[in-house]
Amino acid sequence: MAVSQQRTVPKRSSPFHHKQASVGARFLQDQFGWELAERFTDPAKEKEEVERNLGVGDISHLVKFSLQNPDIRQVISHLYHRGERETRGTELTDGPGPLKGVLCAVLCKDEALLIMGPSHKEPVYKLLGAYEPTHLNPIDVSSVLAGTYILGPKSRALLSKLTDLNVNAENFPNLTATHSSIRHVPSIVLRFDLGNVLGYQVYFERAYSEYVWDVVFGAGSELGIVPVGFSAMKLLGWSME
Amino acid sequence: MKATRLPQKVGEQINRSKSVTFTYNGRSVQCYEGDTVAAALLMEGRNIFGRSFKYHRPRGLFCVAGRCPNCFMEVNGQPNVKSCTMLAKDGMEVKPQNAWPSLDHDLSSIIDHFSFLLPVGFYYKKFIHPKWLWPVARKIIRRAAGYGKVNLNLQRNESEYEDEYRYVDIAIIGGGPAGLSAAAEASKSGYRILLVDDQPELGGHLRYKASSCDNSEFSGITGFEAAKTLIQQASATNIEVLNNATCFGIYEGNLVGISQGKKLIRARVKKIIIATGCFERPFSFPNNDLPGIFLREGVQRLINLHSITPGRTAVVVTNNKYGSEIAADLLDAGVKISAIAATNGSAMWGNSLKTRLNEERIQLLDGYTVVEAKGKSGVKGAVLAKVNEQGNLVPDSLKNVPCDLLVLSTGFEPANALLLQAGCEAVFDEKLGESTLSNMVPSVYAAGDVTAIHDLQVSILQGRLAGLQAEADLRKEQKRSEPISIKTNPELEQKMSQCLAEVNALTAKYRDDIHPGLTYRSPDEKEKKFVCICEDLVEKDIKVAIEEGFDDIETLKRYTTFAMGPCQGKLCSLTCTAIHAEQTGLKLSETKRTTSRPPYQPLAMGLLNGPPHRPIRLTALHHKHTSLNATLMDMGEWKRPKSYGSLEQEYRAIRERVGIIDVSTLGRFLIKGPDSGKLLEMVYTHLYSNLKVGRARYALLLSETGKVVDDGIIARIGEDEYLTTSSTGNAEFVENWLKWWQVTGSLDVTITNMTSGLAAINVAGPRARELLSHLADIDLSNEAASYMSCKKANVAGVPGIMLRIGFVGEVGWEIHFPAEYAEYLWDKLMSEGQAYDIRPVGVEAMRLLSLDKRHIWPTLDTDAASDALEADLAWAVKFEKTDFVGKHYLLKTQHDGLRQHIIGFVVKGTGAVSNGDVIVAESKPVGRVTTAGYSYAREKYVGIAWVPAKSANEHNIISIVHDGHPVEAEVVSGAFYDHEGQRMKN
Repeated sequence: MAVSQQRTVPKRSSPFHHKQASVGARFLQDQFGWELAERFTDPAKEKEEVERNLGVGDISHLVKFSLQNPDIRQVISHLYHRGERETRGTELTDGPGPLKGVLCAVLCKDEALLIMGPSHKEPVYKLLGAYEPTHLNPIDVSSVLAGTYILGPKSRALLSKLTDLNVNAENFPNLTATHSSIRHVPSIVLRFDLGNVLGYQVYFERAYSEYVWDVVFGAGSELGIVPVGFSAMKLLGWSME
Repeated sequence: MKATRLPQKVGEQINRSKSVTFTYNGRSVQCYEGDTVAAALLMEGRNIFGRSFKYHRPRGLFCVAGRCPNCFMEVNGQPNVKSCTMLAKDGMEVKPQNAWPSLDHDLSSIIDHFSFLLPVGFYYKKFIHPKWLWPVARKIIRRAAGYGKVNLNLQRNESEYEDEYRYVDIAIIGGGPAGLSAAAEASKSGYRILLVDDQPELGGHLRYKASSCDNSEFSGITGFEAAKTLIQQASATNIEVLNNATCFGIYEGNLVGISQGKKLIRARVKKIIIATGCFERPFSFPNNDLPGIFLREGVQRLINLHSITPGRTAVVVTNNKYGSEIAADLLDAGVKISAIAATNGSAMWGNSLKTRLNEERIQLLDGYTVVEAKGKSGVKGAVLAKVNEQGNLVPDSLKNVPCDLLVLSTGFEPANALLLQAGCEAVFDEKLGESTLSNMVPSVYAAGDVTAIHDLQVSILQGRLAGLQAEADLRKEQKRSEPISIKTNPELEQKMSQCLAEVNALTAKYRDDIHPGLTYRSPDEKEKKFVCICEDLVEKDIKVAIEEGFDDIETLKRYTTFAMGPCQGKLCSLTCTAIHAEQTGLKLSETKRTTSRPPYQPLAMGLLNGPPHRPIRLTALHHKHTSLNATLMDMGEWKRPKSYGSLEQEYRAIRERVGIIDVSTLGRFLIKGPDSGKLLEMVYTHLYSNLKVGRARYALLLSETGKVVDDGIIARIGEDEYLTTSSTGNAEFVENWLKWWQVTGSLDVTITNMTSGLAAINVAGPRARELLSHLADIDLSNEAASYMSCKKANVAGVPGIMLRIGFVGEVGWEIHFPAEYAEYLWDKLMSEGQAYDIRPVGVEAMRLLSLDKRHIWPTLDTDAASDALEADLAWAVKFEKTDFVGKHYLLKTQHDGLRQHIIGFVVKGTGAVSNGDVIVAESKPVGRVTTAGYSYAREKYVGIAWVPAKSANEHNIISIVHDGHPVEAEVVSGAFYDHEGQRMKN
């Protein structure tokens, strides 16, 4: 990520910005204008805390496209050059061409969510716009959905306090996505481990962000939850830029 | 009764190196960490812990296990806390309840002397003649009834309650020997196990069993040691243990409800093993509720867990082998035993104990029972008598034995409520003298004392068997991807049959050896014999109720309320059912039992409610508002700025210069696709087929019956792309409504709710154009961007859509843009706007500004009965369209004529009006004011109201009642300000 201190583009703020600032976040602005929490304490320590207990990172800046199509599995299989049977939940990061590094979550029979770093936005949008034979209508919901990345061995325990979703390993294996709710906030939950670290990405309407922050950190306090900056996430293997 | 603390003992749960201090009735009390509130107060010399429900009789500790209501106290403002299980914590404030002026001297105890006025069901029979008496009596009874009182003024932390969920393969309810054995066995399979126990430590009754576990695989070692070993065996990583947790209900689909302090846990389980043990069963004799009378288990808990002796001189009454255990415990604790009444004899007792009793000259009275307790505020003595085989008293066998501690070990009742809730059935077993399970249901297993077999080795084996059965059934029902067990199915089957054979053999032996003994009940009615201490019911009450005709067990329960108190039948159900059987000539095994329903233990309403259910939504500009000291208001889930300090200044900023309003809460929907126009044409009343790209139009949404539901703007931003807005409160409804009609018409359209994703700022006022021209990269002249235009533009480098609309009656633009830029753009506008004395404007001023233009706000100015024509919105309805939602009903209204009409009015003179004021004609209410306010433009109060259609003519005078006084107003047509709309179209 190229970091810029000069404001050459309008500043874009995460919906968690004020909550992050209140717990001592240090912010840096990227080339897309996003002011992101780079660290809270020391990235190495944050990484350790995640690997030991539980951490929450902010992934609200990621680009998200909503795709709706009656044959969405077929479309995704075609785009990702996979068999339809393999397209069960979340595809991952090794799609061809512009889709390399683009996460795709098939949420139901006619809806999928593509998630990517900001640098992928234009090429992916172009690819989707040119898709044949079915006309695809990608809707940019990047600003609509805030995102948190819950990481660490106690992620499951945290989610059991927040949602009635069955997140047991056999029911919700890695690369699975589903609709759920986090304390009455409609959400999309993706299981996406970072290497050996258990991880869940949770997306929900931006307007609920501060409420979700409060309930996540409230529920996670007895589990040792810590906020995690993007530097620590990179140390853990995070690479969506 | 004087309690004493024993020297440190093995197995005690207190930590003598740490003290805890709390207050009781304002007075400081010290105890050890691990002491319960009741144990600490017992050590302080407290004998009376509560007053009974109806008669306000003194009550002391009884079960010491959280089953009876005798020890209810108020803790930190919360009433009805069981002080015998509540661990003492620093700073706790404990108060007595249900007594005045004190527990020791309660004036209400005078009621006990007038019990003849308060028989069972008295509120159906007494105080009803003369007629005026009942309302008076009812008030008094209501005030006196109940245990603790809820303090409605208590400040509560809303988020103190929590919810959690679990999905497990096997839930084991009960952490005693059976539960621990089941957990140890089942865990070998690798299945996910949840072990729920209502005590702070696992072990069940073994925790307070100081004697040796004879005739079991733990022979020769104490209960404490046996418990430790079992806990060790059940410590696998696939077992999650919940201590201090009560399973309060089993619901459909194997949903298990668990309460753990202020946490509610919903567990979906595949198999349930119930190992909940049993209760000790008291029996009735005169004055059987005196303080100082304990159940055996209660005394064992005090002695072995808290190292407290609750008295100096004891009498033990027992009809089972556990009588010998408590006798040994009392002797070891230095308590003098005056006598032991062993109802069914002491033949099964160990010789060493008998020798010891003999050496200490303790009377061991075979065949004796207690026929009365003596004392007033505490037990002073027990009257014992011998009972013959016919169940009658042997003449001249009465013995008055002094004591300050009377211990009852007189039978058990399995804690089988959860099994019954799950659908299992139970019958009374005459041989065992308890209920046993007659019918089990799939996926539910029972083990331990709950099966009515009180033998440690049987409990352990039953636990193992249940664990094996659960595993076997799980393996049959599912295939797992991970390898889970080294056991093959044949090995599993063999192990199960072996275990079952052992269980059956030992159970048969237990049945052969058991002699429940005679339970004599004195016919003496002079003193009260309580059968239900929760509801203050005596034996006579049950008999009288049956004589009155309530001879079915269900009606008897409802009339007398037995089993309906805090214990939920744990201590009274069998006794009352036995009396019912006796009085109706049935055997106990023939009589029906009452139904067990959740919750098994009383639950706080806050626990069921859980954490706050009110998600809060904030706009992306929220912190800007708070930094400007805006007063916030709730609009559904949203927090919005009501005002920034001065309504008039905000109003004038818009009218005279420029103001900015955060309108991000408006619903916004992106409608995209070849059939977008068709959808909008069908759902909304206006014409959209001729709406050009770059233009916007008012959008009115009706229900199928023509009633006004919502309004907004539809802007065509591309060939097949529209941005639609809705009111704040209706966004979810409008989204669902659009999707419904999209599906119904099989239309090729995507509908995306962009509300959260787009911030929106309304910049309005005579200088709005000047301000925005500095920031926007498009031509904002009236020619290029006329009224109701919509343009894509960059404002201060932020990409957005600029809608030229005039909700507040001045030149203005609503800028919709990605929410992440909100604070940046707001700062830019405020900074550039300094030159024009820009002001932020809140919802209150916005409403006043729109009132000037007589804009109708759907759901505020309309309701479910307001149709579009009556709401003066006919201009937005295009009947020439082939069809639209609500058209046919509106045509009917057109044909039938209007009954009511919305109007605008100006108050004559200096009178004031408010929202909700009533409009009257000939002293009758005929309409209502929906919105009213002081118009700075007209310098008068103006408003919008509903009136009968005949009163809706311009210049008509209407009469409004405001604060009880009539105010006259004139009906006006059109806006109150800038009637022609020139200012906003400029």
